[in-house]
Amino acid sequence: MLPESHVAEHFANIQVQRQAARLGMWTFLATEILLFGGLFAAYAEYRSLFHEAFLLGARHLDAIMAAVETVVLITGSFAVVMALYYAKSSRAGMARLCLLAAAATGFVFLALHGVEYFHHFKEGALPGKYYSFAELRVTGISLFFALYFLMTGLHSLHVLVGAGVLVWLARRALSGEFSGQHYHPVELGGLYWHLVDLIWIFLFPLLYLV
Amino acid sequence: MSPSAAEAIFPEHHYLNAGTTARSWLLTTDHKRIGLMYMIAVLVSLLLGGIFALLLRFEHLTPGPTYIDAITYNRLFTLHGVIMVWFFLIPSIPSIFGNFFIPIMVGAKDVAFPRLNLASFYIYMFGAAFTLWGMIHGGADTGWTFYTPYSTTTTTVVIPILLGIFILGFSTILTGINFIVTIHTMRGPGLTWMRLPLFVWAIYGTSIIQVLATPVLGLTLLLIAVEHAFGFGLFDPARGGDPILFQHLFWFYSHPAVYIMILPAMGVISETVSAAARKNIFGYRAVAYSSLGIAFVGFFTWGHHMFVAGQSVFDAGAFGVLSMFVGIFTSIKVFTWVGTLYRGAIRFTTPFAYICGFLYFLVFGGMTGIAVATVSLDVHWHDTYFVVAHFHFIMVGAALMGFLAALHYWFPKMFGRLYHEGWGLVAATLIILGFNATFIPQFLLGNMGMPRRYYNYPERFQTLHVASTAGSTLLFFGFVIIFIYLALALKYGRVAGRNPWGSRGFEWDTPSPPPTHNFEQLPVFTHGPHEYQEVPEVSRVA
Amino acid sequence: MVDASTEAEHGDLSPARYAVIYVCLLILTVATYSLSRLSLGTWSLVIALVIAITKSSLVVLFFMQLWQHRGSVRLALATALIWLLLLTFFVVADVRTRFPLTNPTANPVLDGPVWSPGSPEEPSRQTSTP
Repeated sequence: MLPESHVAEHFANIQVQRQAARLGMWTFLATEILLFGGLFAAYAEYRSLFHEAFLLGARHLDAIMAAVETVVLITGSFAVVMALYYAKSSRAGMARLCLLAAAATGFVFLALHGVEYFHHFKEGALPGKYYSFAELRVTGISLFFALYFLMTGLHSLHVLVGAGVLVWLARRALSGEFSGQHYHPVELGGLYWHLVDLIWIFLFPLLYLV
Repeated sequence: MSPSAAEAIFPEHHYLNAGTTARSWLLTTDHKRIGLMYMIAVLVSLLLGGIFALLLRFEHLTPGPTYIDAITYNRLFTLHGVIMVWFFLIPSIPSIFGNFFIPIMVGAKDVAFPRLNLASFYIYMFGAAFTLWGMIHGGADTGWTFYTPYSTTTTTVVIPILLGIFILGFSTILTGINFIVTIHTMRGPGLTWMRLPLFVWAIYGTSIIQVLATPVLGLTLLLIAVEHAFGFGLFDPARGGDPILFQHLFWFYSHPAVYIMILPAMGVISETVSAAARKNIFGYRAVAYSSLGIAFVGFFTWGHHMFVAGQSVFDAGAFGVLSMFVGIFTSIKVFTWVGTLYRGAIRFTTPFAYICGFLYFLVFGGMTGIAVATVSLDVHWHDTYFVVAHFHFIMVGAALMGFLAALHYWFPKMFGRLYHEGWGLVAATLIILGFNATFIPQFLLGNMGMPRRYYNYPERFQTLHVASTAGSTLLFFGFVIIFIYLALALKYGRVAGRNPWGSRGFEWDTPSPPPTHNFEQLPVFTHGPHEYQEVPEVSRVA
Repeated sequence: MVDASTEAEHGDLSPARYAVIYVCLLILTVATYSLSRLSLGTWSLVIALVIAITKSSLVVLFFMQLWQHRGSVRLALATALIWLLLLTFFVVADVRTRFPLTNPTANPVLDGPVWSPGSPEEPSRQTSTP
């Protein structure tokens, strides 16, 4: 397979295409950072206003479960890095395995989150007007849980999308599409996955630990 | 390179007739065809938004009810704002002329991601469909700013409209990404940053704003929709929520959004000013850097929309001072344009008429902007017609002048035909006069205390309201005339030839209309695009 | 243009190095969890953020290869982060410098101990506290 066959018609050569793809994905990641940014700003404001509620709310969340979730996502990131390494070395089988492993970490993360949500649902620690958890009554607590659900919910949606992208890349890897000349789809998918990991790296301490 | 009728040939094969099936248009990845499809959609939005504006103005012919009731009035101004801001102004110049000309200006065959470009268009249409659906079901009555707590508790159909705009936001973001990557990575040989056409600099700055600001809007609209549907209490004071947080998040996007609307128009003026004066642009670097300057500084000023909303005095003071900086970059541009025109060999064409209109509206609209950015003055003017007149001076006056200048300047390139100059000047005059007649009374009304978004008003304001409505009718007729002669020119206009304006812009080196892949041969760039002092010995197309 | 060399020769780390980064991230995760169990007052937020920034720097620089890719991609990330700080700064500055009585305080009736567990009946959702 000639390297030129991977270059789209409007690009001068493969390097330009690669650089364009990379910059395009990073610019998109910048937009995702700002998407979550609004929620982080809201968190900062309400934490400032309702400090006690945020402290007690964090205590009430399952920090150990969240730490496990963090480890799971970081492992997924490592798997994705390895997938790119194997893709560049034209080792399709290993690349596919790593991509599927990373996607699996995503699904494990979502399952663990689901367990968390289920607990909160059962005890009534829900956002806003649905809050009915009698053991934790302090002003602003329903707002804490509103932010908790909104931030982790939006994040989980991105985990789902990211896992889907990785599965799709795994299928393409199987057909031997990737090589040292043509690997940027794996690189781009990996970048998106790393972003999902990055956001969690901040959500974890802000919601669960402090 | 002087234009002459003898040279004007209409190329046999070009982007318009390369494939004539519906499929070749609907599934095209050609940036020029995508630009045209946007043009149709955007012009329909302009028509719809304009009709809503006329309906509003006719209601204001008399105090009290004229022919619609108060709720309908509220819905009309909401929809007018939503359509004009998101479906007309924000996409207008970038999605039509940016799409069409950025690849040509940088010497590329297409944008960086052509399929993503097509996707952007369909996402726009999808968002438009949602909003239209909401409109048919009565529309929202919250104003285009969707302030809480009203927007989260209103019984009108606000959620489809929020979703429509949310979806549209993706279109904006993807277009912005496409342009940023194209400009960074696909410049032709010899095309350094300091040789880029100033229109490209303007679109670059615009794309940066789009990419940074729009996600925050997306989140904010999503939060309103979630709040409306589920009542999580994020902006509800009874739950500890802060309605002003909504305003912070909303204006963090919406203030830079106004620079998304004006910066491309400024880019168009930079292009047309040197072509109209047939003279080098006065200060290339100043204009280029000030485009980035506006993009940057525009993000530091959002709180000036919230002076009386309840934000802290510290924030109000900070935003008030920071807002002044935008004036610096805008002034740099205005001085440069005027310096370019000074002692130029000006021909009074339709684009030049729009340049004149633009300069006048930008300066006066901009100065009133600085005025309302002054906290103590805004306390009096906030939520009055003064603010309405200010932003219409910039958005309709300046930005729309830029749009019309682009339309007329590039019409020959896009369609290979010339429009009728006489009618062009007539329409331009009507529009400029009509605009003044519509909005100068509104400055006076606002200063006298007429609130915005009010259905009713005291008798003493009626004369000015009637004057404003009369002006809006004149404005409308101007647009009708434009539509007629441009539509006729598509078929019956004189053949334009490669470069009817004698412009040195890079896009005038290819045939009119351009071939599908933009050039007969990929260009090599040896000098800048706004240079008129030296006549090049050889054609720029290698 | 045939590009014979692959990026694997231009600054990519070996799998072993990536594994080291991975282990560092795990250690930092354990660290941030353990430190949060101590009661350090306001310092706990600072420490947690410092660790989070360290972890994310490792991911960005090495996993996302920003260490080896120069130019515009770095600018894209830096801009996004600065803009995020800009928004957060002015929002927090607003609530911290407002006249305190104008800040939302929430309604103790809604969040307070009036309800009995199991019957989430709430008073009508008003937007102004009495």
